[in-house]
Amino acid sequence: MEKYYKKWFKVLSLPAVILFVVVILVPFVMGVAYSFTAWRGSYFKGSEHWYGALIGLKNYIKVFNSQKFISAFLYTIKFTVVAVIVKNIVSLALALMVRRIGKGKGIFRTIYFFPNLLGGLAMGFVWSFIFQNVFSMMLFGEDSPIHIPFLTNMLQDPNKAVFAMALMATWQTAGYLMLIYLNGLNNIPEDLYEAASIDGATAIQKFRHITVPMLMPAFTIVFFLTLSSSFKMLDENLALTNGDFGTRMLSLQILLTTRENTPPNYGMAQAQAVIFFILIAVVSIAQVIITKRKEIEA
Amino acid sequence: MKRAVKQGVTILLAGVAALAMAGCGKADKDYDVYFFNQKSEIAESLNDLAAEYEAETGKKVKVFTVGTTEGSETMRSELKSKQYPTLFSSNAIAFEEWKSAGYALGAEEISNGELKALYESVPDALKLQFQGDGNYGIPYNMEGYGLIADQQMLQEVLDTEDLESFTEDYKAAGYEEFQGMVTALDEFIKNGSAAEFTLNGNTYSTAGEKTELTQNLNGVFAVAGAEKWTYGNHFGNYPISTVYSNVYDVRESEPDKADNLKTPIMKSLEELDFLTRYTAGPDGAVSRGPQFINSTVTGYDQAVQTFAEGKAIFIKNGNWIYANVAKVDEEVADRLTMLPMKVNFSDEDIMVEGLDVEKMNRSIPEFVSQYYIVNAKATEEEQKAAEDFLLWLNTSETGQDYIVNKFAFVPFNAGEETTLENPLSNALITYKVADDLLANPFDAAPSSWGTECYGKYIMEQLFVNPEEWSEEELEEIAGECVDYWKSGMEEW
Amino acid sequence: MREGMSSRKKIKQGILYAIMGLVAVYTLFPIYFLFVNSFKSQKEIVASPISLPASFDFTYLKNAAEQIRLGESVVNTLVITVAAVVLIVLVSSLTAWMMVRNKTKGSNLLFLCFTAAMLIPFQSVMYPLVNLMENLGLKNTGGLILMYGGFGLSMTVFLYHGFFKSVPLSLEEAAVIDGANIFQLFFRVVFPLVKPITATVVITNAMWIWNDYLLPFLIIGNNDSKTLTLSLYYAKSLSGQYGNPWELIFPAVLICVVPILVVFIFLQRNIIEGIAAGAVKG
Repeated sequence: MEKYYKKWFKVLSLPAVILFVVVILVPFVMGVAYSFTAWRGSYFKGSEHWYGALIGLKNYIKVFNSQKFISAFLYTIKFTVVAVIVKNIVSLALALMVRRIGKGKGIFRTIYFFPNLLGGLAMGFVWSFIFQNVFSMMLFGEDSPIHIPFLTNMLQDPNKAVFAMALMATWQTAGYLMLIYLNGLNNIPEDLYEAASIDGATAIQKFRHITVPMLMPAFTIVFFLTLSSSFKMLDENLALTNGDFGTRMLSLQILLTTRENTPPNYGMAQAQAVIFFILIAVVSIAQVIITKRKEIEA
Repeated sequence: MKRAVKQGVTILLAGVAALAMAGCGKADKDYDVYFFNQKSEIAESLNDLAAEYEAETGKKVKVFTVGTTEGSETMRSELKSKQYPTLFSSNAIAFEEWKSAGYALGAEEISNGELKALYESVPDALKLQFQGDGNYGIPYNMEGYGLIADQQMLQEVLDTEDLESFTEDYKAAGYEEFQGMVTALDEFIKNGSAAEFTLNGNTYSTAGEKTELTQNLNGVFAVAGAEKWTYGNHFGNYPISTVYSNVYDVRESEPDKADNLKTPIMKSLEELDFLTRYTAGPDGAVSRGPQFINSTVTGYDQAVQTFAEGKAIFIKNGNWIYANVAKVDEEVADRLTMLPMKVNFSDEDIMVEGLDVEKMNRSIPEFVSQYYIVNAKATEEEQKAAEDFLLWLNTSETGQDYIVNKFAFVPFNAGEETTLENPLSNALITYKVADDLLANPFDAAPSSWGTECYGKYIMEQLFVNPEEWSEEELEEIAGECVDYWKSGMEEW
Repeated sequence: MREGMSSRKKIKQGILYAIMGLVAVYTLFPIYFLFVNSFKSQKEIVASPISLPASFDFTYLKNAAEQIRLGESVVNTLVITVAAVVLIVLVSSLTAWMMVRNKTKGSNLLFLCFTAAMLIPFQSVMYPLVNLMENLGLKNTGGLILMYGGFGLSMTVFLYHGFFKSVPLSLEEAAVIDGANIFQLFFRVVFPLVKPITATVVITNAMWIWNDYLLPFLIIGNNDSKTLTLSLYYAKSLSGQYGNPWELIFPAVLICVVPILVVFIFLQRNIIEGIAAGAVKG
């Protein structure tokens, strides 16, 4: 059989390799190369071809000196921290609750999952209206029944906006993440809990010593997913605030770099994109290593 | 059931795959001219125009219009594709990219003699140039902005039929007199009582009671607070034009010249502080605060509507809003007039030769919004077809009818004899003929300074603040704006 | 004793239901909101966004459907999504299977490459990719499908890889001995065994492709063959150029959401189970 598989390996994996090379590998390498040039989108400043317009590390230096990039970076970190915490807590809580109730599990699961199917850009417009008008003017505003200043004009203040975007992002993904936690919870053998009850453990102790360690694989997945998706977020950022009031995140920053200058500095945008990749790679790899280690220990 | 679903899906997939294959193959070029237009207001009329051209000459023009935000990006990729535009549009400052990439055909290379003459007839001040040289495009139109008002509203507020003397006095008046006028108007709006003010030394008074038209007023100005570009770009132009004489001056100057912008910027912010205390809104006066930048209250459309419904006396905007106002109330649209915006600079603030405060106070900034440019990388045959169309558009009877009436443009070569349907455009021509014109150097502001710096600070820090803006605050903001400008210049 | 316990339990359950009910309302609120405001004029929307519409005026929906060229856009999006998903599933499953069965250094390296590629954010390849596609003449719907194929590869191969390991080798050997060729072996024997993950893969990929905005924007832009999300974006920015035309946005978004809602209701069990199953194994 081994020979059989060996024979077919090359043929069957060829389409994938071609797609991968053309769509991902080549552009990625080109991107890295272009980031060292004075690329302007329609042309290269100073030469007909990219290799004639090499400017070394100039783009990167500009990026590190760019206030806009640094702010976007810091803001993205702020948002990611908040979003990951909120998403994890909410989805775990939902999973725990869904497990406990007697009837209607399926219905609740379905309802909570539904927002995950909706597009970020489209729903972003709807949510922006909700934040601007419903929250700010109708429900929590100055003349409204319950006045909660924090919830008004959330999109006009960078700190509040972090929570606004986290609110929307959680709304979108909590159901999906809840399913993962549910699966993890369902895989914990009941007898462990029973044994603990017999030993006199409280609910909190059971949670800490049984649930949490056994949930680590699920937690790893959820953490990985939320970390990378929050860091990369674009559609919601664009639709909710378009980066106004200091709420510009990294993906949007890259997209807008080419729009703000004439002629558009694609070289600098590409340098930012390369840095973006390195950041994500570092964070993801570090996170996988750390949680895998914890998994083994647990 | 499962089997049926499976079979259904397989058939569907096969059908889809077939469709996809069919969709993949691109049709051969079936047009003679491909015109990429970036001015979305004329999209529909342009399609009609193309149909008429085809009826007259048998040549097919493919027209493609985009909105302004992604216009450049889309055009960039279109130009690089196999079916590139043979005629396209660009404004003066984005033009640098297209010229550097080799897409702009210069006047000397135009093969059509008549068209070449048209290129050469463009006045120097309006020519599309690159690094101060050359002649690469035909202007779409002239545009201008200032304080727009309904003439009948003015008559009833001022209780006078004679707006000519008022307009003359207004143009000659200075900033302080302007402020007096605004407070008097505000008093009238709030109390319906007669209030006096002077313009150019002559005394005027508001009416003593409200009429049917004037009773809806709830503020002096309608302001599109939620739209950064309306104040970031157009209002920002006033301080910029004290230092730079035109877009090319901005590009060619040393970065340090921007230090001279600080005081004019500060003063312009002081003026904005004053102006925005008298803002009208859809449901009553709007005061500065979070509401001021809420897009459902002070979005562009809302501001125009507030003005067109007679709730504000003035709106700072351009001659292009004629169509928007007409949608709300056609009669008001036909009564519009444009007055210059006053500035609170002093002569010492102005660096540009030949410009003084008096001139600024009686002038309208006019500029070319877009140019028609022939694609230098197209084949000779394609270029000739594009040139023929461009010439026809600008010189034939049908073409001119479209430009003046359907697009509601002010042609770049409009003279005293031209009268247009849009009264605002006629006003523009008056200013042009009297040479009461200001340049529009903000077009060349680096790194979208107008919206990303000046306008951004205004929206995020000033408009949400109902208190009077302190001098320290303004000085800080002005300093930031100058720094942003200078570092933006380094990007070039 | 029994009574006390069950009433305590009932209270606990009651609280749980209450909390979950509130969350459910919160979850569904934007949809309700969307629905209710699709029948109102701009003024009404701003004035009373939460209440039911004064009357069920269908003109806004009709107008929105026209503006976003509903029929065309749905067909375009459908073609792209289906073709892309089919492509992804076929190519990825075959490759993943081969990688699992052919344990060489080469296949390990390949697997590593695919997995690492999951880390590459779209922005890093966005501009050069569009550039490259233009040069290859693939800056169109066909090219778009191929691009989705490429982007969906990494995650899909990763997911399939785990599942194929659980297919018993003996089954495959038996099939070969019985005279099956490679395609029969795969499609008749192996592939059906990994149905759960296929369901997951189909759904996950279909979802993001259907809703995707950026890639169609860069490739198709303002051309005729827009996808649904793209049409929505352009309708919003062209009409009511300045300011937000809520009376267009709400019905347009509702229209975009309805197909998903319909599919979801029919396939909800499969979808949820598929995702739950696939997620943990991954």
